[in-house]
This record gives sequence, C-alpha cells and structure tokens, in this order.
Amino acid sequence: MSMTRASDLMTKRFLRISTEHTIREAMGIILYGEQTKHDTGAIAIINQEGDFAGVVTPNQIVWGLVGDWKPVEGNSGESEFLPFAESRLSLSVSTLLTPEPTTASPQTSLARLVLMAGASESECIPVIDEGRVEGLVYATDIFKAAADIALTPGTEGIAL
Amino acid sequence: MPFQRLASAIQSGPSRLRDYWKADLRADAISGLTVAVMGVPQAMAYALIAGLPPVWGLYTAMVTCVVSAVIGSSNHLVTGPTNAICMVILSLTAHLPEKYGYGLLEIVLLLTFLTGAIQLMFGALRLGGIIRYVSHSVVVGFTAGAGILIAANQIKNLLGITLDERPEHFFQVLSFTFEALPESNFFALALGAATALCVIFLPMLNRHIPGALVGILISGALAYFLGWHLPEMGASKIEIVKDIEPISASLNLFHFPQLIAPPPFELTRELGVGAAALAILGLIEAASIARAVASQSGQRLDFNREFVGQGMGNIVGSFFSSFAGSGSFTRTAVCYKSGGKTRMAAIFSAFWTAATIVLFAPIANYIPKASLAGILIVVAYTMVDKRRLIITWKSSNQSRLVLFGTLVSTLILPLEYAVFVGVFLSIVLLLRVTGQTDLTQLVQRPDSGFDEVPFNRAPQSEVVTVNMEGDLYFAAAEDLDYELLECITPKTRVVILRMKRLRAVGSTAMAILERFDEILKSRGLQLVVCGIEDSLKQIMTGSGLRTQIGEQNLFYADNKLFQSMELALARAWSIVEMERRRDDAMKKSVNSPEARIRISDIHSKRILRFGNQHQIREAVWLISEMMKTVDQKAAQPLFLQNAEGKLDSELSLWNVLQSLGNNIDPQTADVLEDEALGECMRSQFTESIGARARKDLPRIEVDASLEEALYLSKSLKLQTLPVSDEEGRLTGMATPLGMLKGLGAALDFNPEKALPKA
Repeated sequence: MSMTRASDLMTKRFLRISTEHTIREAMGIILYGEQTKHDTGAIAIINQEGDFAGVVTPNQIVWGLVGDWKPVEGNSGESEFLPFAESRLSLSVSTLLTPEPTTASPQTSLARLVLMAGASESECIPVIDEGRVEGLVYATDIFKAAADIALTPGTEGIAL
Repeated sequence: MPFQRLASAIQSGPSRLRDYWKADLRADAISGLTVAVMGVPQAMAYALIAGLPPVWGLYTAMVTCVVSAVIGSSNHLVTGPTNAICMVILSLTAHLPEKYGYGLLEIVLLLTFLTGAIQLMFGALRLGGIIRYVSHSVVVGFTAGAGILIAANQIKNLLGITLDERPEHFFQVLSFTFEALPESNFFALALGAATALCVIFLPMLNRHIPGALVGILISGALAYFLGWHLPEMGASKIEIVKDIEPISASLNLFHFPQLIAPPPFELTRELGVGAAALAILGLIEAASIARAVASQSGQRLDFNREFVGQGMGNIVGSFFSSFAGSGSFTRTAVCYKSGGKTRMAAIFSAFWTAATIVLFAPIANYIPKASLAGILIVVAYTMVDKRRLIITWKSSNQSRLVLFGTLVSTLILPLEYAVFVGVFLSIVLLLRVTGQTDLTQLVQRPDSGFDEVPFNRAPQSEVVTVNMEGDLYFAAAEDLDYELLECITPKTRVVILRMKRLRAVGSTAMAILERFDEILKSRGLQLVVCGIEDSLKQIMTGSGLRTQIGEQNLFYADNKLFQSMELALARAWSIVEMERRRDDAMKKSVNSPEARIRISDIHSKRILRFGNQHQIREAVWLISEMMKTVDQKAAQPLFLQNAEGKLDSELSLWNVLQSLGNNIDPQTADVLEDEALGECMRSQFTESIGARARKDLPRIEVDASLEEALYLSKSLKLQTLPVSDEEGRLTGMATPLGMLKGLGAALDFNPEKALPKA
C-alpha cells in the first residue's frame, strides 16, 4: 500500500524573497526570472525572520495591482489605470498575500492536497516544515498525480 | 433476396408461395413479356452482328438469361445477346472457319464455353471487387467504338449487298462496302429504312409501342405480300431470316459443342485471348448495368456471385446453341421500369421468347435481314453516347485519354485488344489518381472544427496545419517535400502534419516524416505530427524517428485520441510561445511609447476546446494527455463548447480537482491511500463537466484594452479569460502570466530596472 505525499510532488527549485521587497521587484522576477521557461511564476515570500509568509503568483500580482480600481463609464481609462497601478508597484509584496494561506506539510496526503487545491483555487500550495518553506506543490502536479491514480486503462479515452 | 424469398417460399409451404403469387408473379410476368417483346427483335438482330443465325440470338436470350438470372446476384439484370459482345464475337471468329476448317457455330460454342469458364474462375477467385477499378470511361469508349463498327458492318445488310471478300478490319469494311455500293438493293434499303423509322418514331408517339417489333412486322409483311423474298426477284431478292438459317417451331436446343472434348490446341490458344477479353468485357457490362439498376432499386449486389452467374450462363449456354452473352442495358432497364420485382421477370422473358419461337417461328422466318440491319443502325447510333463523349472531352485529361484511347483502339485494333487497352488505361488512370496526395491547410474555425483551404489561401500564421489526404506511393513521396514546403511562410514557426487521412505504407510515410523533419530543423522550424496510425507508429519505434522528432511532438491516432488534432495544436502554440519568450519578441513590439497594450498582444492560442456534454473522466484524460506534451506548470482551463460550437463555459483545473475531491471524506483524507483515493475519484468520473464549469463568462475581444481584461478578471474572480474575435468566436485566452506581461510592458518594465539586486 502506498500513499503519495506532498514531498513526492513538490518542486524544490523556487525563488523566495522577503516581505521587504516591492511588488515591482516580485513582478520583475516573475517576468524575467528563470522560472518563466515553465510558465510558472510563483514565488515564496518569507518574512524578516526567515519564516514563511505567503506565496505570490502572477494572478495575485495582477489582481493586486488592479486593487479596487474601476473603469470610468465612457472612458477606456488606460491613462487613469496605469498611474494607479504604477503607484502600487512600490508597495511591499506583503500587501498581496492572503492572510491565512493554505499550506501543506511534507507528509500531507495527495487526497488532502486535492481538497486543498480545489478549495483554494491557487496555482500552488507551499509545503512548510517547521515554519520553513520546503517546496511548492503546483496544482498541475497535484492534478497529474491524481489523474495517474484515477485513470485506469479501462477509463482512458474519450467516448464519441 | 427475392430469389431466396421465392426459394424459401417454396420450402416453407404453399402459403408463402401464394404470397409471391399474389404479390409479385403478375408484375414479373408482365415485365417479362415487355422485355421479350423488345428483346426478340433485338436478339435476332444482335446475332446478325456476330454473323450468326438470328435464331441463335433467341436461344441466347433464353438459356443464358435463365441461368444467369437464377445464379446471379442482381434482381433485375437481364442477360443475353448484347451488341458490343456480338461485335467482339464477330471480330474473333469470322476468319477462323477458313483457317481451321471447323464450322463457325462450333467455334463460337467453344468460345462461349471458354468465356464462361474464365468468368466462373473470376467469380470463384472472388475478383468481383476488381470491376470497380475499371473506369466507366472505358465502357463508354468501347461501346461507342463498337457502335461505329456495328453501323459500318450493317451498311451492307441494310443495302442488301454481299461482300465478295471478308473484311479484316474497320477500314476494309468501309472500303469493301463502298466498292460494292453499285450493287445496292433498293428493296432491302427501303425495308431497312422503314424499320429504322419505326424504331425511331413510333416510341415518340407513344412510349409503350415496341418500335422494333412493329417495324419488323410491318416490313416483313410488306416484303412477304409483295413477294420480294421470292427467288423470282433475281438480283433484287431480299434476304430473309429463313435464308440464313430457318427457325423451326421446336425447342430442341441441346447441342453438345463438338470442339470442347477434346479442344483443338491451336484453335483454343488463338481463342483464349479473345475469350479473356470477352469474359472481362461481359463482366464489366453486366456489373455496371447491375450496379446502375441496383442504385435505383437499392439492392445490395454481390459481384462475385454475379460473376459466377455470368460464367455459368455462358457455360450452360454453350451446350444449348447459345453464344456468349452479358447483361443487356436496354432490356435490363425495361425490366426494371416495367415493374419487374424479382429475377422471375428475367425468367419470364426467356419463357415468352421460347413461346415466340414455338408460336411464331413461321412468321419470324420471313423477317428481312435488312429490317434487322435497320434496327441495328439505330442501336449503333444510340451506342455512341454523344452527351457523355462531349462531357468527357471537356473534362480531365485523364478520363479523356481513357475514353478516346479506348474508342480509337476499337477502330484500329482487333476488338479483343481494345478491351485490354481500355482496362490497361483505366488501371493507369487509377494509379495516377490514387497516387496523388492531397495537401490542404487546416484553418481552425473559431466555432468548432476546421476549414480545409489550399495553401495559398490560408492566412499566414505561426502554426501551419497541413492535412495529408489520399494514397501515397513511394514515387509520389519524392515530390511531396517540395509541395509541403510551400506551406511555409516567413511567419511560420511550427508545422503540424495531420496524417490521419493518408493511406500509405508505413515505410513511405516514415521516409517523408524523416526528411520533412530534417528540412524543417535546418530552417529552425518545429514539426508536430498528429493522426499517426498504428502501423506507422510501430515502424517509427524501431527506427528511432520517435526520438528524432520528439515524443512530445507526436500524437497517435488510436480512437482514444480523436482530439489528437486539438492536442497537437496546443503543443504547437506552446512551442511558439516558448520561442517567443526566448526571443522576447513581445518586449520589442510594445516598447514604443505610443503602443497601447491590447488583448491581442497577450492572448495565447494554446487553448484546448472540448464539448460541454462530456464527463469528468474524459476531461481528466484529455488534460493529462495535454500535460504530457505541453510543458508548463500554470493551471490551464478547458474551454467548453456547446453543440453549435459556441463557447459555453470554462472548466478550470480547480473545477476538475473539486469534482475529483467531491467524494473524499475530509475526516479521512490524511490517511487515504492511493488505491482507495483512485477508487474515490473514479466514483466522480460520470459527473457532467457542464455542471462544474463556469458559465458567467465575460465577452472579451482581441482588440479590448488590457485594463478592461484586468478589471474583468479581478471583479469576476476569473483567472484565465476566454478571448473572442469580432464575431464572438473563441480564438484564445488571456492567462494570468500573459496579463502580467502585458502589464509589465504597459508600465514600461525592463529587466535591468525591475530585477532586485541579488
């Protein structure tokens, strides 16, 4: 009997930056860092004490920069939005973080990860061990592992 | 099958027989009579084509007809003497009596036997399917040529001329006839012309009038009462049937063909080629006529059985004073149109023909030969299918070559060789047509499916999808490289080859793939292949081609992968995006300060579409297949379309995970082992994906502004947005990373400034 755990699925190569960094810097890393090769952009954020503080994904930056901005009726409003977004770039990344992020431990079962990923709708779940970020488990990796287990030769394919 | 219906009716007792009696017998009897009324003069006239006594035509219309009807496959095919076959018989046998000293009739019976034996063999070897490969142009060309020959040969009979010398070929027929013109018998010409006019004009007055029968009756009566057939007329005496061979009112047909046992070697060898030609011609005729009728009656034909029927008809016929016959177009058409229901109609026609012999032999004997010639001239005219000739002349070079090649060879070659020329030409034609591989470009329609367009009409795109269709022979493979290269435009980054509809030997297809992959690589382009059949897959495995092209670029055509095309496209677009990222082309395009970022700048075409009627199981499988080839960590949704191909909803990866996790008990999730987890997730497999997907999708067009998209994404909490064209059809998506890149470009990001110091 075997059980797939978070430690089997997590990616250990990921970037971590501290809460002192700005959104601009996080965005720069995501746009030009190594990880763009794989279309991933999640970075782990740690606080001054070196403990896990949260995860920043491209989606979180996008939504964070939009903030509570609303387009004005009858005006496409780029000129208004860009200064607004620009002004937010120098804020700390910590402003983007979810207050109580979903986290896993290396021992977390795949079943639990499936539930977590479904509930959080987040691109990745950080794996924390004794307050330290050990790795990131991407939703796609959870899905792949789940699909591997669920799909049996008889259940593959598409019915026409 | 009606014959079996009849047979089983007989077996299963009188009630079933009574059913047939009530339902079809009357129709068959009447139809048979109609056929006989038309067929009797025709059969006698056709015998004249072959240079044989007219009564033999009647025998053939009886014996061969019955045997072929009983054994053959078609319900309506009427077998018997036919014009083209008779012309070949004449061409084959006319010179032989002088050469070998046997009687013409015996030689013809041997020929008939041989023909039947060859046809039987074709049927026994199950070569029925082969007939499909003989082009219809051959039949049209041959029939037209035979028609011209018949007309040329009948001029002498029409004019009552006897040629001193037997003509060897078409041009001699014409020249000898021309030389003998001064001896023309105007009584004969008058009778022949009168008959021909009857044949032409009487059916115009009323289509139920049998023109030929009335024609020979009128002209026969005229000749008889005026005494034109009497020896006292001297040189002006007209020839009547009785002068060729009298028809007696008996049905004592059985006549053992003396040359069969044992057949004289030399003669048999000489006849063999001709018999093969006759056999093939007969089968082509019979099969194409049977097929034409079956296409109207809806009957399913078994051509092998039809071949056996034709062969047996001729073999049996050779013992009953019959010459080689085949399916008659006119009589078959009449049989079907006059309401013949089962093959009993053909049998009835034989019966009525026999009755004619018994009852009217004395009258039939007085039919003038010129009258029969008159019928034949009209028949010959109709054999030349003018409309078809014109259409074919205007059509493709190939069928023109086949048709007129066959036609001309009927006039200049011995007729049996003309058959082979036609068959040969149509095989060449077949090879040329099927040897072509059709290349079209598939352009994705935004609603669903693909448009097939010629290369030059396809819009330029980074991803070019080439559909290969047709048969691929090795010879054709040589040119294919160049043709394939034509699909490449300066914009092209990836070429997708779709091989699903390509019929080719694996090794040929592999050679193409190998070369094309090399060519593309040398130009810095990528190859993605989809629709790879099993046979090709196996050969590729052995050759290492799978590694050369890369497993992630290959999509196999097992039936699980009917979406292999969609997956190949997603793969191709992901290659394009990877390259773009490397080149940082985006940065250049938006670096000018004026540039305003639109959705079109960031939207990704790497989308996967799926029907909204599917189950979670299928979505899971499709996504996992895609993940095998598209290397990315970002969670990508499936875009679901309704039956009309319109975007219906979006199924995010989380939606799928939510469904899979639906039956996981949160209490025990931490200790759930993989096997139990698999079971648990499979129990969700039948859920409809439509139930999980988000339907409240915004409509974002490619020229929408970036901030509009950003705002919608945030306010709707929709991470990946579908992007549509002006007509509202899905063309791509805006992913979170795509939006972030657009934002970076709009905010004038550049790596030096933005990246934090280490």
